[in-house]
Amino acid sequence: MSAPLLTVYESSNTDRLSISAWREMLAEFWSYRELTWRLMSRNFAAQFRQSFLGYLWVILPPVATTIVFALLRQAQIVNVPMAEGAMPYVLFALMGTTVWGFFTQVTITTTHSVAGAGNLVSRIYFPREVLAVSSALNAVINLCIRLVVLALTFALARYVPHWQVVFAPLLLVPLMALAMGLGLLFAPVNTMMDDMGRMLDFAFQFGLFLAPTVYPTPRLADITGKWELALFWIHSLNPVSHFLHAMQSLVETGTFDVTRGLVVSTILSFLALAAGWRFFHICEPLLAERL
Amino acid sequence: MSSEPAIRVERLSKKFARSLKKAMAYGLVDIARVAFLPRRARSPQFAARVADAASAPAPAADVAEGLRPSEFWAVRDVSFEVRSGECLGLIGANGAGKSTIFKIMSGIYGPTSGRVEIRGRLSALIEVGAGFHPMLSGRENIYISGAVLGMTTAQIEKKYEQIVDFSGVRDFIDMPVKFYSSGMHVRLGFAVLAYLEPEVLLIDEILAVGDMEFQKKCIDRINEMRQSRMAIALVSHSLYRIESLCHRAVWLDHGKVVLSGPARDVVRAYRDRQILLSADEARAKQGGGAAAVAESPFFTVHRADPLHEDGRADARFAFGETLAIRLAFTAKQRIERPLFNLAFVAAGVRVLETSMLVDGQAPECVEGPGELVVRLPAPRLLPNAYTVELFIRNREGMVDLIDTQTVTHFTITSDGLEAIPQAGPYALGHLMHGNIVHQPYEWDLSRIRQPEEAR
Repeated sequence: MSAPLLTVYESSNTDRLSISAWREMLAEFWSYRELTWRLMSRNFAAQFRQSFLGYLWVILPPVATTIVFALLRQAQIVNVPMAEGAMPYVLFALMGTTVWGFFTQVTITTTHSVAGAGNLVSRIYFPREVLAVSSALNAVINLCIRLVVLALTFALARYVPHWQVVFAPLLLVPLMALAMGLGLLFAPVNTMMDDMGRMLDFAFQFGLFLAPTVYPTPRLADITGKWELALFWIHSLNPVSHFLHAMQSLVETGTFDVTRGLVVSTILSFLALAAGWRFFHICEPLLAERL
Repeated sequence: MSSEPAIRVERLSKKFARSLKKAMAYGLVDIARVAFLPRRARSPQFAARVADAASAPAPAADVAEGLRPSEFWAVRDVSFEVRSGECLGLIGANGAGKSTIFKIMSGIYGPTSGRVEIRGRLSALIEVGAGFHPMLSGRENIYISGAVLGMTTAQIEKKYEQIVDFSGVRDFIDMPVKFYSSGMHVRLGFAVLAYLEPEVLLIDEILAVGDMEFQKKCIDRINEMRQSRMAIALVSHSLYRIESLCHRAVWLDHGKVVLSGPARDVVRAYRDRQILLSADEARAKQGGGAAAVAESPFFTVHRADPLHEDGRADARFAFGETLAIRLAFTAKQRIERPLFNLAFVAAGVRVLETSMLVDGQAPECVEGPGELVVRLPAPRLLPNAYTVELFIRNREGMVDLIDTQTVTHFTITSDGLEAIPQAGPYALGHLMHGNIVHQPYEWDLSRIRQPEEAR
């Protein structure tokens, strides 16, 4: 007879950086993959069960934002100049808001995942990462639905992107890593104080305007005023901008420029994921009692 | 077979904060401490010193113990073991730390200090039905709950029919649980847990819900699991259940172990304490130190004292010990043949009376101070808190000279209870909880014809 499984609970004394801790974390998460999957399908199935429009709510936010901005631009209330050879504005804005919406949703749902599952967390033990990952995966499904809408809009506009666009989704991987990393960092704090979640909701509303989502980043060569320059720097400091730039250039020119910004952003994103996950894991024993 | 216990709890402690804002602040500090400080700086004492320096000073003893302002120990230095095939009961008042211990054992809370070892798969029946998603059907929720408890889809599928049968909600299995009654919720929840077949099982007072028939089903299932060499720990306020299901018990009070040992001994001591507490409470309610315990235009009753055979005035008696009540009174006028009546009341039930209205004895005449003693030789009163009520009537028994008044209290403890044979599964439950009087009796079983195979 094999020795029975031994579980030990002690006061937290985890090593932060040891390799074996990482291995344990991954192994534990892997053994609960079934639950992750179940919770994800649960969230997805339950999401719109009591709503009339159902999954239309998934596609509505980016579409509505795009329509409003296209309208404002058409009416010349806002002036968004598009460069020579750029894609039509509607496509640009829909792509921007879709990607930004994905980033937002992953970060926010991950942040809220633990606090929102209070009655589960305070009664049953399972690795809490499961909650974070399943809600992040939910955002991925929503993204897929939105990408279909985006593709249909491209078709409707009869705009054919360069074939290299098939590589664009790869850029969503570091983007998601960044979002999850942030979410995992914020989630434990969010179980203690609600301010965290509220602050995020607030920040992301403004964040939309500080990345090339509904208007392109001003080109350094064209910049005249110091305010335009400031905006340029804000965009450059926002890692999401670099992923968006890369996607936009894949669509418009089929080229992939490995810029310094992109490399730094990618490295930063994966570091954020690693730090976020480790932090989350260390905080795990403290989560239930604060809910 | 491993000789190691299935559950080992060693010097387990857990603290909580009383105030929500403080809990929030400590939570953030703890996170920062665990995530960023080196190991040696993570001790509770260190945190307490820091918190102490930052805000209003806590008592020095608290700081030494590692408590920050407004923190308290929910569980303190608790140790016990449970081997497979054994059942341990946790008893204690609300807030004694029983549920917290269970939550630590199932990994929901981390311990503040100490250590818990669990050998084998553990499942905990703590508040069943938790984690059901209201919008999804019973069927979908069964699969989710199974997954939460670490089962694979194939394993759940194998058990699915049994679970649905046990729960008795087959007709509603495709309805969102939002529309389930609370009873159905509980049944489904227990059914999922009951068919997991873990090696270690924690049961927290969940059997208080549901109808009688379902409760019986649950108890049967627990008994079945107990026989299959599972280690079980259970929390219950029902001493009956602890006595009948558990081998050993731990009595907790304010997070500390008061007594642990064979279930019978612990239940008995616990029940004794309960009886004494309720007697104290009754005494406090009556208000001690009053000049008189009863007063009327005819009589003042100054004191009523329970007496032991040796004349000691002490309110605690062993089972079967001869007791007496002494009344000290003053008759305010000359009264002929007053009829004294003392009623002995336990748990709101009048158990017996010593009454001159019955026996017809009476002092010929009283006037001024006097004393009267009534003796109960070897009473058959079982352990309980007793109240003594007095009234006095005139010689015809028609007029109250003193209305019914509570005059004193005494308790009968479980000392001497061994005189009653107690080999049955619910002996203490009946003798210390249910019944009030014990009458010796004999069964005559010789007239029962034994069936063939039993001979």
